[in-house]
Amino acid sequence: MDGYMESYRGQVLMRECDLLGHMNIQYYGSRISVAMCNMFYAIGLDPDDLKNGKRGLAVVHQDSRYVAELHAGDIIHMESAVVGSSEKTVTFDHRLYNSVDDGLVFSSRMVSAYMDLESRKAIPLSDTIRQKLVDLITDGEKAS
Amino acid sequence: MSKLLPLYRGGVEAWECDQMRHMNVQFYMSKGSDAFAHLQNALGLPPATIRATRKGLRFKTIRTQYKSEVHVGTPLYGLGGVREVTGDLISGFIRLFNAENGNLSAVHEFTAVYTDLDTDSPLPLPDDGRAAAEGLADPHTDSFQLKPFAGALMPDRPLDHMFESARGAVDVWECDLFEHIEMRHVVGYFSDAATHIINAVGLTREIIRSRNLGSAALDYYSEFHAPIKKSTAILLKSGLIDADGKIFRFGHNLFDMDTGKLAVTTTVIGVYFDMTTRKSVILPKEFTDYPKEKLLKVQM
Repeated sequence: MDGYMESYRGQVLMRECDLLGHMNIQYYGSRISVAMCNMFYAIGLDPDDLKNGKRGLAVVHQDSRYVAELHAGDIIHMESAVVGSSEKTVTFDHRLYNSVDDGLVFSSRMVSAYMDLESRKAIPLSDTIRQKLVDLITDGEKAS
Repeated sequence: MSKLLPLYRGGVEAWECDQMRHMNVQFYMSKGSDAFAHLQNALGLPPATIRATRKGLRFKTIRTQYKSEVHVGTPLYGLGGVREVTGDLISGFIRLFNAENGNLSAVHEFTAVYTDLDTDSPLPLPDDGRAAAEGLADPHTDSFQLKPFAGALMPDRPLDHMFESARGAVDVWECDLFEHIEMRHVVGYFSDAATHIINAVGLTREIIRSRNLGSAALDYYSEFHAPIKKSTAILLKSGLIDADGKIFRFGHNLFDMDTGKLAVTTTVIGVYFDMTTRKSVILPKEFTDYPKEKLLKVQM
C-alpha cells in the first residue's frame, strides 16, 4: 500500500492468549510498540537522542479496530504509515495482518507527541523530522 | 522468487537489555523463533496446519553467532532461507540485521526435523513440505557464511567438575501451544548460568563492576536431545572448558530431572569487554588461574 512500510513481523505466543483462546488485546499494543522502533528511525528521530533518553514520541490519542482474532502460533506482520502531523505531533496508522493470507486483523491510528524527556513536555518537531515527513506523509483515508 | 525470505522485523525493547546494556542473548532467540514460524509457513506449514496436524518442524541443532551488539530502541530485521535438504533434515539460517546501519547483528544456523509435537517422534518430511524446502534450497554462497565452530563441542554426556548453575521447573508461560518450552527460555537459562560461572572462577558482580567489565557471548552451539515440557523439573550443569587470552569457552548440560535425560548440550564461546569502550579485553586473571585439572577440555 502506498506510503506504508513493514514495521513488524513476528508471531503470536501461547502466553499472549487469554481464556477466550485468542491473543489478548494488550499484545496488539505490544506490536505497535515494536513497530515504533522502526517508525522512529523512518521519521528521522535521532537514534542517539532516543537511546540517551533525550527525545521520544508518546501516544496522546489512539483509535483502534479489532477486525479478526489471532491464535497461538499465528504469524503476523504490521505495516505502518505517517498520515498526519502538527507542530508537535505525528499521526501514524498501523495495520496488522495475518501473514498467511494477508487478511487485516487490527488497525490503529495514533497521535504521538514529540517529547523532551527531561522536561517531560511536548515540543515542536525537529527540522529533520519535518523534512522526513514531507516525503513520508500519505493519505490514510484513501489507503483504507 | 527470491530464496532469501523476509522473516522478522521489530526492535529492541528496554526490558530486553541486560546489565551489559545490550540485548540479552535470549531475545536473539525469541526473534529467531518468530522468524522460524514465518519460514515454516514458506515451507507449506502455516500455523493452522501445524495446530490441526500437531506436527511441525523442531530444531535439532542451532548455532548462533553474535556479530555486533544492539541496544535499546534499535530497529531490527531478519532474513533467512534454506541451505539444503538432506534426507529428512532441513538446514537453514536466519540473520538478524541492525536496520539503522545494515550491520549483521547475529546469525542462527539450524537443522530441523519434521516432528510429531505430541509424541516428539521425528517423522518423514511430507511431500509438499519437501518440495517447498527443495525449491527454496540454496547454499547462498554469495552472502555471509559462518566459519566452522572454533574448538571442540561439548559431548552429550556428563563431565566431572561441572557444577549446578540453575535449577527450576518449566512454567506454563514459558511454553508454546504444544507445551514445549520456548527456545528463548532455554537460552535464558544459559544466560543466567553465566553469572554462576563468574562465581565459580572466584569473581563477584562487585569485582566485575569495579573493573568496568562486561561479558558477551560470541558463539553458541546447541544440540537438542530430548524435549523439555511444561512443569518439568530441570537442572543445568555448567563448566569451564577453557580460558586463554581473550576467549573463554564453557559448556552446559540441561537435564530433565523427571526422566534423568540430558535434554540440551550447549557450547559457548565468549569474551569480556570494557563497558565504556565496548572493546574486548584480556580475560580476568581469575579465569586463567582456574585450576587446569578442572577445565572440561581435559575430558573432551
